[in-house]
Amino acid sequence: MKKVLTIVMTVALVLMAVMPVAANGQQDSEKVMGISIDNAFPSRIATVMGIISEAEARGYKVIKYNANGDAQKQNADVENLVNEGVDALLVCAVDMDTIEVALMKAKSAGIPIVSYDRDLPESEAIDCSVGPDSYSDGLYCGEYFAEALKDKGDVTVLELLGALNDQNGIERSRGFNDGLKSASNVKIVQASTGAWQLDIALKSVQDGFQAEPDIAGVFAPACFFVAGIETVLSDLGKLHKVGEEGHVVVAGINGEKGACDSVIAGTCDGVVVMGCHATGVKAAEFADMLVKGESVKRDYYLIAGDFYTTAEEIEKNKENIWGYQKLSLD
Amino acid sequence: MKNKEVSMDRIKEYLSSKLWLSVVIAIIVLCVVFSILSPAFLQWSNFQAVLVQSSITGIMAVGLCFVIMTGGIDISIGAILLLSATVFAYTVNGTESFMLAFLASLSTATLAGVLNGVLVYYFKMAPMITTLATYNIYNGIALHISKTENVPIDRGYTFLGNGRIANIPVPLMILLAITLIGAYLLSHTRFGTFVRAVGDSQVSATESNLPTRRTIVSAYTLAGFTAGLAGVLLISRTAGLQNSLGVGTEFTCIAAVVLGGTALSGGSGSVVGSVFGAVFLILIDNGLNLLQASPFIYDAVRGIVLLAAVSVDRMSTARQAKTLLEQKALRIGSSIIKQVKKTAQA
Amino acid sequence: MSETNQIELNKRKYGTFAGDFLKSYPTVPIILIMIIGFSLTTRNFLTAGTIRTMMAVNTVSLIAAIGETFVLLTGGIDLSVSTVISASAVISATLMEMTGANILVGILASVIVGLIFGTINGVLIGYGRMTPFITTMDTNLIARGIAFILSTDGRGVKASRELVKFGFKSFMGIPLFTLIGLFLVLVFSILLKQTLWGRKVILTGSNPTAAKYSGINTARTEMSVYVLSGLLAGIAGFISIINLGAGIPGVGDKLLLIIIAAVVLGGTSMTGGEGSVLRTLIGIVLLAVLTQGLDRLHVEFYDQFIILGLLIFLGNSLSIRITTKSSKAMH
Repeated sequence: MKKVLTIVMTVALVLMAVMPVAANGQQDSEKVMGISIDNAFPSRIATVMGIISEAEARGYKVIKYNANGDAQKQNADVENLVNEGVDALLVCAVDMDTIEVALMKAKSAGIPIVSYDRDLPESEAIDCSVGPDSYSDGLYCGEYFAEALKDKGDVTVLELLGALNDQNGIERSRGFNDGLKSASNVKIVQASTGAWQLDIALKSVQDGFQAEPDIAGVFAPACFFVAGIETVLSDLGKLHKVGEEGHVVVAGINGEKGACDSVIAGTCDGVVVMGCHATGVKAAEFADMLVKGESVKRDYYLIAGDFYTTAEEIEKNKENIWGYQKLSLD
Repeated sequence: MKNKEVSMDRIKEYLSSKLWLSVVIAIIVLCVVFSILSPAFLQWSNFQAVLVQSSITGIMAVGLCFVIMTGGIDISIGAILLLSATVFAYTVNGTESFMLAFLASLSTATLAGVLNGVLVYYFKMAPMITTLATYNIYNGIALHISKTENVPIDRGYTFLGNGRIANIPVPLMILLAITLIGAYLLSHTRFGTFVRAVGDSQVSATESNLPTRRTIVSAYTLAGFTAGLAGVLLISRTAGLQNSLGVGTEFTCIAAVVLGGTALSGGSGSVVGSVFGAVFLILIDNGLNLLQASPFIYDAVRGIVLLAAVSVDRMSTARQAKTLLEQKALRIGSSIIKQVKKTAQA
Repeated sequence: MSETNQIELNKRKYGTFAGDFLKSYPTVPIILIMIIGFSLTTRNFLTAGTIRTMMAVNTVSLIAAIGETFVLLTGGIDLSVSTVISASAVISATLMEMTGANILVGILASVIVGLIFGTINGVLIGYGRMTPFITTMDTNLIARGIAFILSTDGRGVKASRELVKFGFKSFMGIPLFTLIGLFLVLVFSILLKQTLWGRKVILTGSNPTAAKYSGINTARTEMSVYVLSGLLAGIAGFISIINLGAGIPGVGDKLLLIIIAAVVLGGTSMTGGEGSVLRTLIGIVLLAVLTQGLDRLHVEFYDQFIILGLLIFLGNSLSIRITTKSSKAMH
């Protein structure tokens, strides 16, 4: 037994010495786009699908790495993409501070970098950013709340917060608060959702209604919180349709199927549907331009979302809403 | 005078046999503190909200309590919760039958529990490592099914999470039922005795021909089943699947069980205490939420309160153990003296 | 009769090297097989760039895993290592920023943070006789809380340019900070094998009663391993700043299970008394090669979970089988 193992190990060592040489023999001239994904959740998948379809249409092969929310792994992912010799790098950062080290390595290897879905305002390595206009998405919702609640007297609105270190969450909150600035009758109370976690959001909404029983509206910075908000409202016997007496105003940003269905059912007031596909297409387009040596101005290119507030609007635009499309990265 | 002393002793004895007493005291202390700090705290509707929130960790803690009493540990229950929720979401959307989805997710979770038990018993690896392995496997399978997608489920199928019977929330009733069944199993059946015996010493349990294998496998199965039930409840409340559901619940549940007076070394424990432990942990969150505390201090407060609770408990049990030991020593000592006297007389 | 004995002896003599090696490092063949497999199936697997990436990304877990090894050797467990890394990273990076990129302050801060948490754990477990699992679970929460409270809204603190530049430097293809990790492996390997303290640690883990009767202050020995584990987690936190270019509060969140898995996969037992620092290094290498290879094959992360779970299970049962077999043979 031991002898066999010794032999196996010796053979293994010899093979190891030979293998890399043999494997490196194959080379192909196909151009490659490398995508680093921070975490695979529906809207991100929709964006990445946009990148992939556009990249393939432009004749690129695509390699993607998913960091699963781990900043350390994402740095290794970016290095691996560099090691694999990609021609362009598209990245959505888990953490805007730590990604810089890895991006500098990519930059010094001469690889153009586009940041998608989330801006990296302080980065010196990226060539440009493409992403949602989170501020105006939040502003839409804030203005809608101000309008819907203007005749209700002094009321309180519960604002759920996204992950506190997420640029999109920060911008959505800023927009929402600015939208409500003119409404002097509305008081805003904020509550945490951890790192965009549904179960924590559920607890926060439940406890929020305990602290302030007369909350007149709840803002969801991500659409999948809408389902949890409705659960709490139905617990409290407050789940009424839009226009009915005692209706609590609910609106969200993202555009997931569940929330859009709630708008159709009439329990949710409105949804901002992000232009995920457009963002992906634009990012791939910029990457292709940079690979070809064309210059792209360093900027954050905004893709505005669409705010739908009625069942008809959603039914009419169903094929443009990413939430109704089949999502898959395979 | 003497009678009074006896009854006091009796009360003391009775109370010290109740492992969950310290966590109940801790809950009362916490309630007093929060009701002073927040006017919204001391209201029936808030207590109801706390109990509904506790139902998920509470139910899981009941099953886990049995595993810990056998001297094992199960860190895969968070992953089983996610797996069960995933199976429920896909089956209910695919078949539009609540019953089918309910049965499918519960049987998946139970099966996962059986697998844990079998692996722990047969491979003689540390339960922590075995369940660390299965944690990864179950988590992987759940995410493989969902491809990390968020899956909404129709509100018509969420009765278990949101429904009320006679104005009492359903999750609360389930928690109550599971707690009663668990407490009955532990103190009134042979299974409960076996669990404690195995936890005390697996070797002597085997040597005295107790069904060690059946006991261990059943304990892990129970933990899997309760985690599955909690999964269905959680997804009925969230009305949608998210891939971070259940993340970290295993550690919350372990904390609940330990707070409830169950020893991690096995052999003794309390089902009721575990549920109280879960309530205690949810109370901390609830109080902080009501005070609108910064989301960042939650972990720190939770850690400090837990550490304080566990060390106070540790001190009191250490004192108890010491007095017990002294009594034992006295008894042994006197019997030795008697023996010596006897031999001397002979 | 004596002839057969002689043959038996010869067999032992010649069979021992491979046997002993496999007994101590049962996972080495698995690593070799994996490397061959990945080299055959992916492009540019064994290149300088890939190896560098693998070393850089795993140094933090390696350093923390050394401390965890000592804790497991006494039969305990330290669940706080992961978030002590985070607390140390945030505090050290913040202090460096405040003092104008003073690296010495940063190192000192990370060491002190680690020592504080290690001492709390050590005193409570060693002298307070509290359960290691629960105690360190609570300090894990406290450390995570502190890391996030001290950060500004969950955002990390960037490191100075010199420190980032130091992170890019390497010697013979090995990043300098990885060399620090390897140096620590060497130092603590010697401390475990060659000193009285090391023997005390092993005896405390393998038979606490015997250790007590042979005059070992087991409380002090237990305390020492938690202090050590905290210290190394603190240093790991500082290394994470170099590696990532910033100290972020979430850096340790996903490391705990990886660290424990690496130590156990290396062949250190959870019940105490059996294991070594070198085995932990091999455990880390095993996980590093696996993750790198599966990433290169573009296996989705959730499918990697399944494979990792199976590997933890198989690797551990393999090492248990080999160790029990060889100890039976010895008897």
